[in-house]
Amino acid sequence: MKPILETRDLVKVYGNGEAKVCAIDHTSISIERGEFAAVVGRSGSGKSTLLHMLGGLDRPDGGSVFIDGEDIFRLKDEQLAVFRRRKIGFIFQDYNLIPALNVWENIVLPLGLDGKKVNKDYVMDIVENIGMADRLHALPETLSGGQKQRVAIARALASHPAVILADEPTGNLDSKTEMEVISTLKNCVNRFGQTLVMITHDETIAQMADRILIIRDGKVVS
Amino acid sequence: MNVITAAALANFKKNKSRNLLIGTAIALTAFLLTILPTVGLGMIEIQNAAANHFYPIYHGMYRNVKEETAGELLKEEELESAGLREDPAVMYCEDRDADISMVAVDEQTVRLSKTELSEGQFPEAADEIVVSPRIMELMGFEGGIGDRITVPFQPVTKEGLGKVKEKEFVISGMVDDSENAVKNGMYTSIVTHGFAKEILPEGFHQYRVYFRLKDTDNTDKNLLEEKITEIGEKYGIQQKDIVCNSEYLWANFTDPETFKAGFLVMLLIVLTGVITIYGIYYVSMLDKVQEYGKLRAIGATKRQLRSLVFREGFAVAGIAVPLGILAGLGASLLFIRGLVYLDMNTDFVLTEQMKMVYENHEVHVVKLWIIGLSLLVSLFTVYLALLRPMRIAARVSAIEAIRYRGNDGLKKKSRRGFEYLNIKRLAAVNMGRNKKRTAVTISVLGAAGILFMTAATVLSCLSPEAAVKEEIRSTIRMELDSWEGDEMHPERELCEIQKKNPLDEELKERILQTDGIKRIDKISCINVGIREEGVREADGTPLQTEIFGLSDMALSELEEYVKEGSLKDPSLSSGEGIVLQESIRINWPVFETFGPGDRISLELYDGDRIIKKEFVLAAVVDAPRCLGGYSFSMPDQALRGFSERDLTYKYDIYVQPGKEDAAEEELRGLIAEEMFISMDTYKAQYEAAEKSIGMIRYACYGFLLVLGLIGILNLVNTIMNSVYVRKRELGMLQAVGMSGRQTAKMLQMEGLFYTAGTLLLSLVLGNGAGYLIFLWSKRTGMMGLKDYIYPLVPSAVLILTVLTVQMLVTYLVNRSFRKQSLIDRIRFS
Repeated sequence: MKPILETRDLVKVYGNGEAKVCAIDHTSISIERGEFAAVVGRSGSGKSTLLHMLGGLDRPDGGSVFIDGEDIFRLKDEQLAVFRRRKIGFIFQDYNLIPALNVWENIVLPLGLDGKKVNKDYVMDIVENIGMADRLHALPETLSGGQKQRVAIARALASHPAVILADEPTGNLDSKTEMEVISTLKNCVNRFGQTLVMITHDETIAQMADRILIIRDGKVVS
Repeated sequence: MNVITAAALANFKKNKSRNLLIGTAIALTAFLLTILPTVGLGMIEIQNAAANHFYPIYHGMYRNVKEETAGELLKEEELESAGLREDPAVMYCEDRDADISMVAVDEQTVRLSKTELSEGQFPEAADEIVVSPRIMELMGFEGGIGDRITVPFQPVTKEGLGKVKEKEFVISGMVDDSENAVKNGMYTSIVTHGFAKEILPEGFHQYRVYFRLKDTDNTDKNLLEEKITEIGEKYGIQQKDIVCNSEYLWANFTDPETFKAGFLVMLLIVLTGVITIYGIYYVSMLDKVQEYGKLRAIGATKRQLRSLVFREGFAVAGIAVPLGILAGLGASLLFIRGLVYLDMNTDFVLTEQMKMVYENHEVHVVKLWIIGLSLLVSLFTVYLALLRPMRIAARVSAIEAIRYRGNDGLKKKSRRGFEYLNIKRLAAVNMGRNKKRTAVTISVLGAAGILFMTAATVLSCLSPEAAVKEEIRSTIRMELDSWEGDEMHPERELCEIQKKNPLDEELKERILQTDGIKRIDKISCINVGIREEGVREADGTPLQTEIFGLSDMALSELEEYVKEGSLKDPSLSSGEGIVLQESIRINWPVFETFGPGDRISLELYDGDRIIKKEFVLAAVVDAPRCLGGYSFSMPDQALRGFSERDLTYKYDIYVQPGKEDAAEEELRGLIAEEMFISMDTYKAQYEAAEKSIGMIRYACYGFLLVLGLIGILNLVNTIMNSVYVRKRELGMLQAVGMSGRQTAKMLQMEGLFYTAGTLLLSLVLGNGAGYLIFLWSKRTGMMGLKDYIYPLVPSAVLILTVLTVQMLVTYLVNRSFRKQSLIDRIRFS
C-alpha cells in the first residue's frame, strides 16, 4: 500500500559557518494511512522542525515530503496553503484558536477558508465526540486548556484531512487533562479513520501510538 | 549613561518604523504649532506697522465743534492729547476745477494727523503759509521758502464762501501734492489759527478736534470706539460728527476674538497630536508590555519603567520637535512673503506699505518666544500622549505581561457567530470584536476628513465667479463715481452728478462705435430713504439706500432670482410697484414678514426735492447686487418718471469675446478726462477676487493638508496596528490554510471598512456641515456665499488619497509581514 506520508532525504539547516546546525539530517520516514505515529526525542532533537516540514509550514533545504502522493514543496506558497487546509489538520501545543471566533467558527474555519459548505452532521458528530456540543457559542478565552485543545482537535478533523499533525498537544495541560485529551484524540482518529503524527516527549503517551519514531540530532534512529 | 536611558535608547533604535511614525506626527504637530502663531502674529504686526506708517495716529476726531466746546475738549481728562484744525478759507483760483483749502492746524494736530513737509517749517505767525508745487502753479505764484506771495482767498462763513480778500504770506514750508490731490483737483495749504482769528470773528469758528485717548492698554478697538462716542456725546457732538480712525485703531488694538480663535485652533492641533501619538504608542504596547514584564521580573521598579517609556518618547521628540519647528519657521517665512506680495489686501496703499515694511525687515516675524512656546507645547503634547502608555508600562506585573494581549475588548463570553465562514465574515468579526475601538478610530480619522470637507465646501462656494457675479454682470462696467454725505465734496452726491450726467447719449454712441462692443445695458438709480419704523440711520434719519431702474434686458435677467411675487405685476410698469431684495428682509427684522402686496413708504431724493411715496411690493428677489441693487429695483421707465434729471447710473457694456482688452483700453481713453465716471472690468474684478480667494484657499488647504497628514498617520497606524497586533493570529489563520491572497484580501477589506467609514463620515457630515454654513452665510450675508457649488475636486482628492493610502499601506504591511516565516509568526508572542 502506498504510504500517506513520506519524507525522502529531508534536510533542514539553520545558521551557517561555525553556528551551522543541521536540525534535520537526511531523514526518510514513511507513515501508512490510518496509522498513529508518535515522534519522540529530547528537546532540540529536531522533532518540531520535522513536524513543521511535514505540515508544509517550513520549507526544507533538501529532500522532499510527499503527502497523499503529492510532493508538497513543489507547490507554490498559495497552492501549499490550499493543500494544507485540505490535506493537513494541525493541533498545536498552545491551541492557536482565533480569540474572536466562537467554538463552532473555530472548528469550521478551515472549511470556510476553502470555500466549502459545512457538513453540519459530520461536524456535529465531531463536536459531540469531543464533548463540546453545549459550548458552541463560547469564545476561546472562556474555555479551559483541555477544552481549548479539544476544539483544536475538532478543527483538525473538520476538513477530513489526509493526515493530522499534533505538536505536543498536551504540553500545556495537567496530567489528568492530558490523558483525557489524548483519549479523545485517539478515539476520534480511530472513529474518523485519520492518520495521526504526534510529537511528544512523554513516554506514556508515546506508548499509546501504533509506532514510535525516535529522533536524535535530526536523524530518525528507530 | 544609566541602564534605563540605555534601554530607552536601544528601544528607540529598535522600533525604527514606529518611531518614524511617531516622529512624523510630533514634527507635524510642532510644525503647525509654529506656523500658526508665526504667520498669524507676523501678518498682524506687518499690517500694524504698515498702518502706522500710513494712517494718522489720532484715535478719533470730532467735527463741527464750537469754539467753547473745543476749548473744553482740549482740557478733557480722558484725552491724552488733542489738537485743533480749522478750515477758515479757500484760495480763490481762476481754475474753477481746482479746490485749494487753507487749513489752520496746531502742533498737536500736525503730530496726530502725521502731516509732513517736504521742506521748511510749519507756519507759526499769522502771515506764514505752507503750499505745494501744484498750488504755486495753479495760483501763478513764483518763488520758494522765505518768499512772499499774495493770496486771494474767500473766508468760509456759515452762509458759505465770503467775498474775495487778499493777504500777503511768507512761504514757511512746502508740502508734496499727493496723487489723490492731483486726481481730484483738491489741494491743501497750511496756515495758522492766528490767521483764522484774523479773518473770522469770535463765535464763528468751527473746529475739528483730533485726539488720542488715555489709558489704552489692554483694550480693544470696539471699546475705544465706544469711548470716543461716549465722550463726544458728553460734549453734545452729533453722531455724524464723531469720526473714529478705524484703520489705525484696527491696526493697533487687535480684536481679542482673533487671539481666541488662534488659541482654539492651537488646542485642536494639540488634541489631534495627542490622539495620533497616543494611538501609535498604543499599537506597540502589546509588543512592549511583555518586554516591560521581563524588566519587572528582573527587578525594574514602576518608576524606572515609567521613565523608560518617557525617555524613549522624548528621544523621538528631541529630534522631531526641532525639525518640525524649523520646517514651521521656513514655511512661515515663505507664507508671509506670499501673503505680502500676493496683494490680498484690498487696500492698495496699505499693501504697498506692507511690502515696504517687509522689505525693510521692520518686523521680526521669527520670534524666540513663539519658538519656545511651540517647543513647550509640542513636548507637552508628547507628554500627554505618553501618560497612558507610561501608566500601562508601570502597572504590568511580570506574570500579566506574558498573558497581555492588549485591550482587544473581548469581554463577552460568547457570541452567536456564523454558521460558516468566509473572508468577508472573518473581516467583519475582526471589525466587530471591539466596536468601541473601531468606532473611535473611525471617528478620529473622520474628524480630520469632516474638517477638510466642511472647509472645502465653504471654499468651493467662495469662488471668484460667485464673488464677481455680485459686482459686475457685463464685460465692462462704467458707473457714476458718487458718494454721499461728504460735506467737503457735495459735488460727489449722486443727484449732483446726475444734474449734468456724464453718462449721456453722446458717450453711449461713442462707446457703441468702439470696436468689439456688442451692446450697452443702461441702469438708472435714485437715492431714497426708507420711511419705516425700525429702519433708521444712527442719527435717527431714514435709512439711506437707492432704487435701481432696470432695462427690459436686466428685468428678464432678474426673473431667475424671483423668490416671491412676479416681475410681470402691472404695478411695476405703472410706477406704483417695487421689487425688494431678499437681503433687506434678512438684515432688518421689521421687513422679515414683508411680502408681495405689502406697502412700503419711501422718500425719493431728487436734488432738493423730496418725493414721499408709498410703493406696493410686487416681488422679492435674491439677486446679485449689480442687478437687483442693494435694496430696491423697478423698471427703468417707471423710475425715470420720478425725476427731471437723467437718472442713468451705470452702463453695463458687453464686448465680443477676444476683444475685451482692446475695448477696455479704448473706453478708458474715452473717459480719461471724466472725473465722475469710474470704470471696471469683469476680468479685473475676477483677477482680484481670484487673488484674495486664492490666498484664503491656499492658507486653509495648507492648514488642512497638515491636519490631514496627521489624520493619514492615524490611518497608517490603524492599519499597521491591525496587522502587527494580530501577527500571531494571522499566522494561526495561515497555518490552518488561509492563503496569502486571502490574507491580503481580508486585510484590504478591514482597511476598506475604516476607509469607507472615514469617507462616509467626511463626505456626509463634512458636506452637510459645509452646506449648513453655506445656508447660514446666504441668509446672513456673512462671507458672501451666494451659490452652492459642490466641492467635487476636493471630494475626489479626499477619496483617492484615503483609498490610495489605505491600499498602499495594507499592501506594504502585508508584504513586510510575509517576509517573516510562518513558523516565526505562529511562535510570536
